[in-house]
Amino acid sequence: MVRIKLTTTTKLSLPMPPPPLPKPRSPPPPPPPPPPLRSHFVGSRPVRMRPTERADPGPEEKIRLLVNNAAAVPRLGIQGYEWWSKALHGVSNVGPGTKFGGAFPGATSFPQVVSDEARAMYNGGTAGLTYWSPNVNVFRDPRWGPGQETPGEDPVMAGKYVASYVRGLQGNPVKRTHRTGYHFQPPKNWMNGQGLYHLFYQYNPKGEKWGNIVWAHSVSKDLVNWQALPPAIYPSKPFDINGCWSGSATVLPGNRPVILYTGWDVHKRQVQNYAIPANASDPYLREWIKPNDNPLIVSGLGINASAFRDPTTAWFEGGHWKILIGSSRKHRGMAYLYRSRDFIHWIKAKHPLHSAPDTGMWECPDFFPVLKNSTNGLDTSVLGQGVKHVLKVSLDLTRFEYYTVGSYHADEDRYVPENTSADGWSGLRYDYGNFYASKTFFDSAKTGGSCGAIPRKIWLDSHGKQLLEWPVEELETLRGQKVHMSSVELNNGELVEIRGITAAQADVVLFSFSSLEGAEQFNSSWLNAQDLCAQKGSGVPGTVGPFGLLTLASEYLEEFTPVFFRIFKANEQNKHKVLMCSDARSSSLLESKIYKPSFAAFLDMDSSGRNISLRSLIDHSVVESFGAGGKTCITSRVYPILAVFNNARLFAFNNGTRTIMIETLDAWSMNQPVMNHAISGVF
Amino acid sequence: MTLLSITQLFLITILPFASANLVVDTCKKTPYADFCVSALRSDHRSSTADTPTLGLIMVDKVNVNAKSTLTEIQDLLRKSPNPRTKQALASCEEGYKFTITDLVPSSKDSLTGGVYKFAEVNMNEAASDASDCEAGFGGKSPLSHSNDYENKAASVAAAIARLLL
Repeated sequence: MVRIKLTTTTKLSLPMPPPPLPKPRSPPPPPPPPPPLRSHFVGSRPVRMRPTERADPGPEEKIRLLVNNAAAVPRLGIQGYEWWSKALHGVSNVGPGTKFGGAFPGATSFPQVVSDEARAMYNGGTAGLTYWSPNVNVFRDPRWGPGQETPGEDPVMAGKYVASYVRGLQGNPVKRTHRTGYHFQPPKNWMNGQGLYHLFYQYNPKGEKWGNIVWAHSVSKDLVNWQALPPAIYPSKPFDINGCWSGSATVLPGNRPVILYTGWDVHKRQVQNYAIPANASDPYLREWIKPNDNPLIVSGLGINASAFRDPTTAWFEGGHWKILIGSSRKHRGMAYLYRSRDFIHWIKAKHPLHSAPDTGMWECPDFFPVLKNSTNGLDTSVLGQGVKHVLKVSLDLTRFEYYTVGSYHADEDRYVPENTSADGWSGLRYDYGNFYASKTFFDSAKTGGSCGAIPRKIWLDSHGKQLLEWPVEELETLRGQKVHMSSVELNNGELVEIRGITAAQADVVLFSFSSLEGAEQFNSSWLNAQDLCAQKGSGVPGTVGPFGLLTLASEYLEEFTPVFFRIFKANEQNKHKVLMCSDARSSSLLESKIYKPSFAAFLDMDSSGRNISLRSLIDHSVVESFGAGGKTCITSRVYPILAVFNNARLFAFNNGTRTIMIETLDAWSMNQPVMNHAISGVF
Repeated sequence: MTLLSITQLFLITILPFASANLVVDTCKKTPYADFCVSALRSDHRSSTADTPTLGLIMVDKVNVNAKSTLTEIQDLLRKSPNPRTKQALASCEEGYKFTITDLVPSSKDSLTGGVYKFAEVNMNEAASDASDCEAGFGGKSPLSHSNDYENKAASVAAAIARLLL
């Protein structure tokens, strides 16, 4: 393995003498008087300055305010303050020098977590408001070399240290190492109104344990940069006082958005409520009101009020708005259909839109049309010849979701899946990895998309049997430094490092092979892709494969998350079967408490095939992979401790006897988008 | 009588017995054999039916019974019973409605279309719905006869579908 070492040299040189000032031609005009001070929050009244005689301390007072122990100034009501809280070597107890013991016997040496330590000490009553931090003085004294109490004389190193320190002091609720850069955490709902995308997601402001769920709200112009807004919906009325759960947004004619959501009411029943914007002309749609005619829909006596939730986006057909609500009857998952003329009064249809035995509770149903032979998306109300429908449900029992492609018989309000779509646990999935409770949205300005870790465009493949997914184009605006490779051979056991990028997005790697002859025979007893991947990991030799990428890899491969293919001869004529795997088992040296599954899925391939593509979006703790142009998507969440930041590497590998060629590989570093910062001045 | 007509007479008497045997043979493999035989025989189609058709006949019985039971339930609900009974009746109503709108039609499609496993699953579900309905009354059920019939008919239908797998 070839490695290039980065070195930097700092050249120290004496500064040039400053050039002489040019002579002014004429006297400069007097500066304009300063405008009166104004405060954002107090309106337009100017802030008054204190009368100078009152503020001016006498010499004794001035002396007592010097050094680190500032004395109190009783006449102004100012208390004394000890300025020497030292965070240079970890946060100190308030007082001179670094001091630990008692409740806080240790200190951090990681600048990233200074704020955690400070907060802990503050909560413990032993910290102040200020902290001495390392000074950044990149100097070398001729008498004794590098300066003490600074990160050193290397400006690159010092710069990184300081950036890390500042962020540490700013505080960060999520461990910085594993915080993703351009992925958004589990989204639930989307809406596009007035040029802004709105994202609503379930959030528990009180911590990690599930409960007190609110609808958090973020907006974006481009699906990539996001700004946080105050929660749109939170428990406040009897019909949602125990929680504001999932639901959907529908945009009614006249560009009027309405949210339907499940409230956990005062009697702990699941009921369906609606909310509308308080101010329709606010493009940010910050405030939502919940009228008193809620709840709109209750389960009634015959349906279990603990299994009745997640209303879908409505579609309009036959003079009625229609929605689905997820439910179950014993072990049968159900999608109940409700109709309304006015969006307020809803009647349950005589039979569910669809149900399937032995699937358990159906959560977060999603029902939408797709065009045959086109990548364009469709409004939910579209019907017609060239249209199929997709019904996706999330299975409470197994915590994954599946979808079927089928036909919507609008006159009867029935959905019939194609017989090629398995209707149950072995069904098609949007993602075969860490992915749950997704929701699609339609954007008239672009093709339909699906949400997940990164927004994805979805469309029906040309055979009409499954959906294809691909990250939205807007993601490409984050691309930075690029690396390109072509025609690189990977023989058995070889690794090639993809260097020159960080937090990589390895894009559209095309792997090719001379033929599929001699591939291992697929055994029909291999029904579960994940189990097969566990048995045949990236280190297990094979014929055509295993080959692919080692993502988030540490230098000596103590940690790596392989995303790879293994190709088998299928039992059908002229067909091969591909196992695509995203295997977290080797992702982290952290002990086994972390869930490290070997996510996988099967893909079909013609025996005449000679290549397969892979795209992986890598982002600190997320690896989101798209196989064969979006036929199979697998998202893995991993928590490496060595392969972090600039120590994470990317390799292509081949552990099969058949030589693999990297036809083309393009990899980009990804820049940070604006991710969930509050919009200033809005509150 | 000629030899030919004696043969014809003989043949005429043998053929119905072939089907009658199918009814008996099939019903032997169901949980309620006697019930099965009398229910099937009450339908004229059973004399010339193949096994899937016997299944269809049974599903029809399930359907007819479900419809009459539903009417019974709705009559009882109109009489404003006490809350507990009302709850039980409402639950039964949901179950029977679902049997009529969903379980029966999909079982019929399954038996005519040849994918028999759906008929088995759905008829088993109809049977269990009927017993759940009964259990919901905690002993004092006004629907015992109807629920019992439904349970038996659906169980038999499921068993017939299973024979085809």
